[in-house]
Amino acid sequence: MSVSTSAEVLNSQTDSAHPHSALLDSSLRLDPMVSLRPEPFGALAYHFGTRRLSFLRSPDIVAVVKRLDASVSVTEALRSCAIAQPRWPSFLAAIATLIESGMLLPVSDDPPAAAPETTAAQKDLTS
Amino acid sequence: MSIDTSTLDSSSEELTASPEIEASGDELVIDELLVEEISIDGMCGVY
Amino acid sequence: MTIDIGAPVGHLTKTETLVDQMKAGLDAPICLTWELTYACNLACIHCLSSSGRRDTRELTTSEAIAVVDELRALQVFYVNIGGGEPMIRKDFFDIVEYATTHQVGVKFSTNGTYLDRAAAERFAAMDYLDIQISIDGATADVNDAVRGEGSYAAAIEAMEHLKAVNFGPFKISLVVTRHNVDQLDDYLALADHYGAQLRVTRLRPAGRGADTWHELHPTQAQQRQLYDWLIDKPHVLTGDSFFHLSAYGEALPGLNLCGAGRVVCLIDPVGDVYACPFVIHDEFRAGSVRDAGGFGQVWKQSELFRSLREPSSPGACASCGSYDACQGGCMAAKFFVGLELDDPDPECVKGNAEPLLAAIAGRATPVPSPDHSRPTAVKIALGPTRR
Repeated sequence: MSVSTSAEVLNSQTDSAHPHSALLDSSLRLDPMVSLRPEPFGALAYHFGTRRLSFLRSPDIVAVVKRLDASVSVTEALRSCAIAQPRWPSFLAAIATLIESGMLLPVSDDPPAAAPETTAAQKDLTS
Repeated sequence: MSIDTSTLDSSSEELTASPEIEASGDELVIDELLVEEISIDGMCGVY
Repeated sequence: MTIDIGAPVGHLTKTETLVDQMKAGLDAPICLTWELTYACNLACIHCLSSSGRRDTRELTTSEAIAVVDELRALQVFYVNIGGGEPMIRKDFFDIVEYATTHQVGVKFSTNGTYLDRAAAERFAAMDYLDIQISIDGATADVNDAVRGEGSYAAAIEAMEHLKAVNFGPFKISLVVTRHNVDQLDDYLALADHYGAQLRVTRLRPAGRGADTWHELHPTQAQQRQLYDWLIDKPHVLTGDSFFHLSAYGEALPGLNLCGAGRVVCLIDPVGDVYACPFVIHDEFRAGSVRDAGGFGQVWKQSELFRSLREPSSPGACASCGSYDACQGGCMAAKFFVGLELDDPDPECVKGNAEPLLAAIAGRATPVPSPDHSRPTAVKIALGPTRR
């Protein structure tokens, strides 16, 4: 299954190089107070609540961020956007930054529309 | 997404150019700065 | 072993920085200054917009709302509303409330005269609104020498109202001059007392500032003093207005570049679009929101903005090792003292402008236009004047 393969790739690296691998299983969404404005190089993201402004430096990270709402996990978003696995640590670091600045929020713990089987498989991986 | 290797440069001093590939063992990792934060107050030409 | 690869198309490389992208201009401003009126109850001696009298060609309320609609469509995140004194406009609340309920954040800059308890309560009920109170000294004597008798008291009273209604954090903004640079710590204490953020900005020889710039701008020693203080206080905002000081060494926080016509611009009370609020002069007028195609067309296609987005030559600064840090300084400062745009900044920290300034001393300098100053000095009317 694709999820376990990607996790294995990252988990086989040294821990210090991939501190954000725990984010792979996270379910995230863009805060509705964020305005994402496309630019040729990627996008500008402005949070109307915090007044923080971020520069997304690649159309690929923009695509991933936009994809998160419709994805059950970060892994799924990365795969849907065909991001090559050697790039995943940088994408996770970027996602971590966006979580820290309040642009990305965890999806609520209430049972979502996600298939129970997928959720169980993810839980197996993290145990 | 495929990686264009036609411009491979094996100089070990080149830390300032585009995404770096670090080889650790047999795996390659590409290091990119994808998100940069700037201050909405930090641009000259507004009050 | 570290290997370089060519970057994928459309992806910024580390050498192609954020700043390079900003220099080439964005598809829309990130934020911009919008002066709502040239009318003002004060007559500050350094007013960058030479304000005082209302211009009869001011944008109407519906024209102003149309501007907000355009900004929203362009996804301009934030407008910095000023003037003159923006609260003088009868439709001030209509415009601000429309913006903040239509995805355009607002910060407005005010002298506080009209910010009474009722206004403060109204502001406290609004979202996506920031307020900036202008004061140019930590004490009344220093402030009023520049802004007029009673202006310090009016600003303090406005701050008291904001505090009383629990508005939350607001900004106080100081234009640094020769006479207030020693008060910076006191100014910070004033901001802390009100739970406010401190903002300090650069005096440019713009508007009425042209008349007194030589006497008011900080000395070289004071610039160093200011720089050291700012490095020590990274939480003090500057609006990136001191990027010319980065030639001293460590860069100050911010993009460290001139944003005029590239990242920001000005819309003036009659709808004219200028590169920035410090160059209200025909030379830097890009067009009008009243032109066919509106603001968007001016931003994207005007000849002036296109030329500002082209790489600029360092000119006389080419041989100086600090050009990358200071970008040659501020074009408004250069223009209004009579220097060329590729000359060093008149306040170049290395003194590279001194010989040029000496050579042109006494010559006529560009006259800021238009001038809406009131012909005679007027006493400050304290307390809100009901319109």
